[in-house]
Amino acid sequence: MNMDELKGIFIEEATEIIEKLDIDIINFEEDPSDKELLNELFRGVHTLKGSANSFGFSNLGGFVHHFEDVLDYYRSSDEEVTASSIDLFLEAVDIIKEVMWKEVDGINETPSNYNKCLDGIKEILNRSDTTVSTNEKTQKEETSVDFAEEFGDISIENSEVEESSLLSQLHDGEELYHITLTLDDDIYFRGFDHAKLMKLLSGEGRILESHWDMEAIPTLDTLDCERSYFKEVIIYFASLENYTEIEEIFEYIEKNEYSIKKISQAPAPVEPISIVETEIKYGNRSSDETQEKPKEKKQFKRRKSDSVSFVKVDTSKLDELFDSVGELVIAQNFLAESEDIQGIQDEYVQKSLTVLEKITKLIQNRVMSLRMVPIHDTFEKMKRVARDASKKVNKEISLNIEGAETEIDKLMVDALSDPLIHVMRNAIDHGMEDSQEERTNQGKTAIGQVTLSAYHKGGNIAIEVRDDGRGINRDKVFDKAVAQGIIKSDDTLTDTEVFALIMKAGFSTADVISDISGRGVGLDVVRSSIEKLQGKVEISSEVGKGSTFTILLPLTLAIIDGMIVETCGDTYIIPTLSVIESFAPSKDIVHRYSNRGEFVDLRGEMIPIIRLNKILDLSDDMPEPWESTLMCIENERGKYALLVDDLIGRQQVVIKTLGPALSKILELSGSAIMGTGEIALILNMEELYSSKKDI
Amino acid sequence: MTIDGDVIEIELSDDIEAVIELKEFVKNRLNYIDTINVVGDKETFTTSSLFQLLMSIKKTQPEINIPILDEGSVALSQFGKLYWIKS
Repeated sequence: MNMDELKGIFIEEATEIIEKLDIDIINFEEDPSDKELLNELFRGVHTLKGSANSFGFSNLGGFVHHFEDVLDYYRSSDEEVTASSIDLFLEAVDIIKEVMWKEVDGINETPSNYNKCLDGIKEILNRSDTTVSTNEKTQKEETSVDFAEEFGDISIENSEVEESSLLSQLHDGEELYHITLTLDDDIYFRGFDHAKLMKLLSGEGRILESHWDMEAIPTLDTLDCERSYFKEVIIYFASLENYTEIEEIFEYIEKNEYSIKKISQAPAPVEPISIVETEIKYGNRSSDETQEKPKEKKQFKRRKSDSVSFVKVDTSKLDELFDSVGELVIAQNFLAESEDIQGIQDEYVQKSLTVLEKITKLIQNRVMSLRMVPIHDTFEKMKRVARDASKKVNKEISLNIEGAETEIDKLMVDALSDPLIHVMRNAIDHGMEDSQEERTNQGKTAIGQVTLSAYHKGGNIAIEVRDDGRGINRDKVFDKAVAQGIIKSDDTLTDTEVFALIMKAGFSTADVISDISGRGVGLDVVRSSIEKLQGKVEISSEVGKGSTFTILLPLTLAIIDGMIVETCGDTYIIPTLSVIESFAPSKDIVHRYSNRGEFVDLRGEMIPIIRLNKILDLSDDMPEPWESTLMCIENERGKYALLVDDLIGRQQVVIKTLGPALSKILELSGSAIMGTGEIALILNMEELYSSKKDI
Repeated sequence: MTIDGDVIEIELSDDIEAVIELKEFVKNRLNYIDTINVVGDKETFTTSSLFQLLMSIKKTQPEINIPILDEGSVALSQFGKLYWIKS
């Protein structure tokens, strides 16, 4: 693995840690007494610092170190974390993100608010200096004694004269450490170097001197510059940090490659140190010692979730596995549908086919489940979005989360994040009333309620963003759409169709903002993003009561639940999510209007009939609608009835991507291999009608 | 790396690629090199591989002057004083 690959892994892991920091901070704000969460936050930051320094992200490591200090201060003191500190934490996380990406891009500059944030951290730490100095002293004395027992103190009487000179160079509070590096000869290959470790050390104190054993270095003819020949490097290091902090610098090299000893002055007679209850920094030795001790242990115990072991797998490998299982399903379907095989009158053959079908289904489900992750993490991220948005527009809101355990395809989760952020911001920014007074006057709670929920709905997943704000004024949207020529004044549209207009790309909100809260802003981007995921967005709203944006998505992008139809002898698949209903119309509900085409009267609603064979240029045949099947479809243009020769059935199919030639055809979104071995094309219902407006 | 007659000048900021390049350059020219000087900032160094290359050169051709080794130590502002133990 080369350095670039290692860096790639670091970036991925760091991104995960940083995302979790955001979530943990927001959760911590809800319960600032949760010391276990604070510890978890600290651990995340600590890991990030170590990794950043190891991979040469020194700017990132430097800033994270300051952030770690402030977290350490809070976890070690009884001081309550205030709202302004939470703001500072979140700001620090933003800076961490920015610093990391700048370093990745090779930009050597700090973010604009870097110094401000750092000043905020220092201010807190300065506070800590004045309040805990006594505690520090007590702790240091204790630590000194502990290390003397564990590692064997190197006293001045036993050490060489130069050590006494080094001890005399120490500044107030500094300790002298004797560090021996015996790095394996592959150290350069592993991406480390004596230089890198010394750089890390110099970030935690002062390197006074080092002694390099060069005896084993060979002559030029056998020297391999990428192999280390230093038998030993001894470093004398002065630092204010304690042993544990120093040892953490070496966490990425093997235990046998280093040793650390603390060199202290000749031990003076140790006088018992009286411990005052309030002076103890870690833990609280109250009079009820038996009760308090387990509590302290519990605080530092790792969370339950940490004990679960995970294996990281490249999603492309999962895709390959899924493809293979897809092939297996196709082969199994072929066997199941083959008349020749079905005709074999052998009990064992038929029994084996049944078992094969069951096992295939089991494997398919299990492989599918590998890609499924709870939507929980995405929802947790929305807490930060909600917090930032409400602060920005100065509207107090309460975010409720429901159904976070609902599982969804990992690829879908990644793609869902941005549109969901947009809808959330929109709900808070524009959906909520401007003032609490405005809300209470309407009999609502002063604090706005935004609910984010996920649930299964007919083989799909629904994600709802519901607010109890002012709602969308249907008539205003309708009038605006008429004024902009998007619809005609005599068009009959349902409420859902009217609300869907605000997600149209050309729908300007300039004059509507004051009335419908500017909900059109950027919502076309949400719609198109969701449609790319084979999903759709539905809006319902009631003036004065609030709005609900429902994002409907298939459970996975790898399998689609489809209606299998036939036209001109070819098989096509229509995603079930797009189909409202299918029916064979009677002759009396089909109408033809000159220049306006064919329509079907579906329970009083006139829906245009679109012929699939004409859209796809398959033939000029004009079968009568009452001798065909109509599939009622809804897309951003509204409802239409797609005329097909026959509806074969409904089936889950494994999606195969189209080749370069077919993928240019907008009306097609993919293909699938049917049980018979026949290839069926999957129709893109959004493009099918809108791109053929003149039909 | 710069070459001024029979004097080679290198910097402590040279990375391992530069060290490998230096070795390749030096190995067939040992008889023509008089001095290898370290120039530039003396704050830190990028790789310890540079020091072992210099020592290797010294062991192979002791007549070459390498002041940073010959003086027994070098003081770097960020990494303190580095002492060489040769035997």
